Amino acid sequence: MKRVTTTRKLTTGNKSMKRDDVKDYSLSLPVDLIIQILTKLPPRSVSKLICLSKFWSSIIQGKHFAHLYITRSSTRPLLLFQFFCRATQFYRCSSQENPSSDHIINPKNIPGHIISTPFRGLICVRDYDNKLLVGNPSTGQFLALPGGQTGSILFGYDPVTDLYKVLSTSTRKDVQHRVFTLGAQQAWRSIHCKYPHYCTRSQGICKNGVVYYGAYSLDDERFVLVCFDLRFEEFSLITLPEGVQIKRDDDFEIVNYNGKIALVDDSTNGKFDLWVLMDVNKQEWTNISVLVPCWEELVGNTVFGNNLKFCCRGTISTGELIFGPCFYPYRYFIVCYDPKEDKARRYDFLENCSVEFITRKTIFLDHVESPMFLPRCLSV
Amino acid sequence: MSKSEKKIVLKSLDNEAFEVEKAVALQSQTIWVMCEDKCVGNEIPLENVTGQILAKVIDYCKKHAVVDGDGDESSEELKNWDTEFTKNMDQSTLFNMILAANYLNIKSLLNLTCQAVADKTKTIDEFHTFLNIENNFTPEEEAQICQENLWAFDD
Repeated sequence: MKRVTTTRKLTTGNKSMKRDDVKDYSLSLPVDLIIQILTKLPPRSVSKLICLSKFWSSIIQGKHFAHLYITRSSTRPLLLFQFFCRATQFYRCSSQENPSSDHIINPKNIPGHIISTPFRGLICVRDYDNKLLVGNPSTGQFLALPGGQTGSILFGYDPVTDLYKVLSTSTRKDVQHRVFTLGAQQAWRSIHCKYPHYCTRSQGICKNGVVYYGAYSLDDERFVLVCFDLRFEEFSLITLPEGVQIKRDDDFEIVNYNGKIALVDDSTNGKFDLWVLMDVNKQEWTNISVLVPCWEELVGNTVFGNNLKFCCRGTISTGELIFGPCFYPYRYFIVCYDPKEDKARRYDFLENCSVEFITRKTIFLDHVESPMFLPRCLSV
Repeated sequence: MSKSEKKIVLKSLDNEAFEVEKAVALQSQTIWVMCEDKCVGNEIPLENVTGQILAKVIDYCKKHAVVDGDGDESSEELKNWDTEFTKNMDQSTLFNMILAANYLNIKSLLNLTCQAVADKTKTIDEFHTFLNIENNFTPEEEAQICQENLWAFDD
């Protein structure tokens, strides 16, 4: 680290003000304040600063800077929408607080379809050649993972070790689990599981260093919720509430409900049944019934009449629940429901886009913008 | 509380004195701590801030002391006021405002002024000149970095 311009020379008012037209090279800010300025740039602009200077290149690629940036951007979480339009995907992002202000994500920034819930700014995608990639949609940097892993892919982050890991589980009965640690290795590692199971739902959720996903336990011959501890790489099984089964992708969604893991079924009438995992160790579930007021008025004008299925995607930081149509609406919208006020609002999207060919879409909550550079030891 | 206790005098580096409401000045955590510790009288010397910059800081604090806590409409209005406040500041003023906000520990003003610099700085060249950062890569090194990180420059 050298040649850092950290000299702090306070110009004294009037004199220097009059010299504005002359570039004043004596005035520079301390490093910590320049860092504050850089955390206010869009992530893509940060990426370009990699050739600013040797010192600043190492700062912006460092973990400290990424942490600072993410801490700040976590206060402004985003909704990330993935639309399947014939053979291609496109993406939109909008502020969670004000969903109507959305923007299209440059398709170059996500080179495939998202196959795992985004976490801390990073996502897993499968590209058009069926290659598995991990990347940062805010900057457009993607790296290919080795090998053609075909099973379910789950992705998460362990805050204790500060590591991102990808878990590949087979959906077949000859189950194999493999882990890939971002930045630490070049290959997948096979890991042992005491509870033979295979994944039944392609999307899980990561919370506090644990990935939760739906599975079928081969020993007990029943559907279960699997907890995979990313730090110790250990599995544990949670018994599902009576009558709940996660057999396939359109069964119960695994969502975040005010910081807890919850399962929620889809609905056509605005009445959603949530099973909230109150205590992971005791495996205690509580049933919560949510009835969204004025449901028909909110969603009634679709070509599907009252038969359009809605999925619940969980709660956002304000405690509001987010719902979106599961399939094929003629236009795309979401419903936000505030249980405290018992008020629901509808937000419409894609007003300027042709949506007749949209066949499927997914909403991800709590996506955060990150300037993080991916570790380069991965083979591309 | 008597009228005089509600007021406080801030004295700049170049000995300019500003009498302000205590509620206005206490948005600065630094001044708040000084008052709390009773280590100063009614006059607070601010040795790192010039009168010209202090006047602007006080303008900001006055605006924010009055409107804070009101409804949505005023927060929108406040946002517009903030934008106008930094819009025409030159580099030197902005830097001095950042240093003053940092020294006085006024978080929202520090955020605002840092954001203003971030908004005004777009190209790599602007970062070099505006933030006074010298490029110490050789042209070969720079070309290699760009080559290795094509994803960052492909727009």
